[in-house]
Amino acid sequence: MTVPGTTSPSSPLLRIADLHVDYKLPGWRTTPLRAVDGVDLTLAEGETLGVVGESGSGKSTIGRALLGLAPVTSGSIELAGHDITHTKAGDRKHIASDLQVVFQDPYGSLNPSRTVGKTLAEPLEAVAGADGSTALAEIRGLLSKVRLPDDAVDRYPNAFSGGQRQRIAIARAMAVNPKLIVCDEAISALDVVTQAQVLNLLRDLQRDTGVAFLFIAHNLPVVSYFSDRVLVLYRGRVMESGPAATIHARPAHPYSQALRAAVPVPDVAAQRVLRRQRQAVVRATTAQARPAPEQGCPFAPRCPHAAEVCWTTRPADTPFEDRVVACHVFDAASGHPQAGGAPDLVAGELAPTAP
Amino acid sequence: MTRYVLRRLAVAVPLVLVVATISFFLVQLVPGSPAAAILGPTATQDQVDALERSLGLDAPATTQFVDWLTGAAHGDLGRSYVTGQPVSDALSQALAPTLSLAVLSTLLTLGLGLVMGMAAAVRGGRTDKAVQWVGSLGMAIPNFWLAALLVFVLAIELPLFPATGYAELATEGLGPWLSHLVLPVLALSAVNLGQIAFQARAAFADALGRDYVRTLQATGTPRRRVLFKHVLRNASVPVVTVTGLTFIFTLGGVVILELIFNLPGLGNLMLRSVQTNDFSVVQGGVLYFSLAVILVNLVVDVATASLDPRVRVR
Repeated sequence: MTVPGTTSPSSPLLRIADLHVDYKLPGWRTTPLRAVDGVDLTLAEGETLGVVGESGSGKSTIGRALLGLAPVTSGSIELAGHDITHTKAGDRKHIASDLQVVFQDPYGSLNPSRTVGKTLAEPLEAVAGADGSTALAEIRGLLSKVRLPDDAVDRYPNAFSGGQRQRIAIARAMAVNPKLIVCDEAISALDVVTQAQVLNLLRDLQRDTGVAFLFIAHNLPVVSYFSDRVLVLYRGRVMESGPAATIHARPAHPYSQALRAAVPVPDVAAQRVLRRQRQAVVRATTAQARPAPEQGCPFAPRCPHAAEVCWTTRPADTPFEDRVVACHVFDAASGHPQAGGAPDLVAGELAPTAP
Repeated sequence: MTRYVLRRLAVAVPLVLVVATISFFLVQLVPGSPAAAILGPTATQDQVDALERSLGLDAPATTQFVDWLTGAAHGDLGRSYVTGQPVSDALSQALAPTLSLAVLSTLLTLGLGLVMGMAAAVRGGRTDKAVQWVGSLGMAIPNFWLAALLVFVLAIELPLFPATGYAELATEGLGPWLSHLVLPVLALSAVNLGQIAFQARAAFADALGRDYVRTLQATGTPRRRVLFKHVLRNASVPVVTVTGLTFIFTLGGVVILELIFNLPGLGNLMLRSVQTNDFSVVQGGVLYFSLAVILVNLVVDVATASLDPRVRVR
């Protein structure tokens, strides 16, 4: 699946094709849990792709598969022309200079017994093979890039706040000048003001270095604000993908609409409208819903527009305006009673919800 | 770091004083007069009184305490009521075998326990199961029974090591010293090995599950480097704490093994002194043990602080 309306160069930085990831569950003769179910995506150099979805949608698993931390069942992952689908964590030294990561928890992702300087020197020494003195000069440069004071070098992570730690984690990821950084819920643990600071920092770094981001988060407005394109994920499948601005302003897939309506807005009246919309769109949470059909649309149990076809046939990726939607309503040939009436379904502009 | 050590020392010194006071008055509470014990059951009351006067035991307890403390501060713990030998000499002689036993056993359990715990946490599966079996077995076996078994197999059936006795390191050399200690150290280490291995296993599993380990792995840091440069250090903190505790327990548990292997150690000396009401030696011994505990705790504190910067700030 390629996303219309975007400029895809002949060979993208990252190409993921038909990715399936299954987690083995504990116990004897248990069926593995399918976390990612046939996802395709491409990411160009210097681009930001947002991956959004609720808990358990498989968005983090995509990042983990990319980093060699999740077991890929089938499909392929290609980074800068090299197939890295099954490259184990132990053999990632040569990939690491292209691919780095910033994880969610700013408290757990830094080794508490090493100074910030040592933490930042780690990728330089382990991956780039730098020695102590050149590393130190680079570290000072990195610290100023992420707007931390020079004396941070000799301090331990516990001396820093969550936002500062996340900036240290970003500096560590930037140390080897990677082409792609996976931001796995990189700002979710921060307060709103700090989120904005970190987002702006990431944006500045991107402008200066041309690094690409795979930005994984659960907050659709934040993701849309920060990304060029957005992928909406539900139960390991892509529900909708396309330009960030359109998906945020006028989500097409019922699930995208639910995601946007899930984020509260400061205006009380607008929030009331939003809540009514959400209740109209989604009837139950994942936990309360009936199990998703094996053949049909995974969102069918919660979808207000679900018809017979949704329970029996997997929706095709259907182009709609400037995006792609996997929903029978948007597919004139699907046999859904509302098929063809799709534009009526698209949610209109709401009160502004972008940060 | 220097400031931290000084601070810990400042806490340790008054602690020694408190422990010395308690140990002195605790021994005063023990019924029976040493003079009566020395003279035997046939002594008359006059003879007992006379001996008490000459030993200074008729003075009020507080006077005796001040005298004893002044002496102790100068390294003089008085003389044994029974043998007349200076107490500090008797204790120093007995200290060598006990300390050799405890230190060797601790080094052995720490080294082996760390390796076992690390292997269990890193490899999992069968290695993990095997470590848990060995550790549980070691903890389940009583050390006096294991001692008897070791003597039977490795000293009598297969005469590799001497069954009993002790050889001075200074006068008889490393070989005899070590060979006399092999069996008691093995018997002593079985219990502690399990404890340290389990602690190490839990600590490694915890450290391996941390986000920074995942980040390092994901960003191409070689496995060996992750394990030895990052995980080992953080996992060591609880292991060092437990090792300090087991060392202290070992000092106490050494008494039984000294009896079985007939080692002229502190445990043996204390037992004999208690039986003969030789209070001056008992007092000195209690002081030695307390000093050892305080010292070990100090070492553990400093080691923990050097491993974990967060401890230093607190």
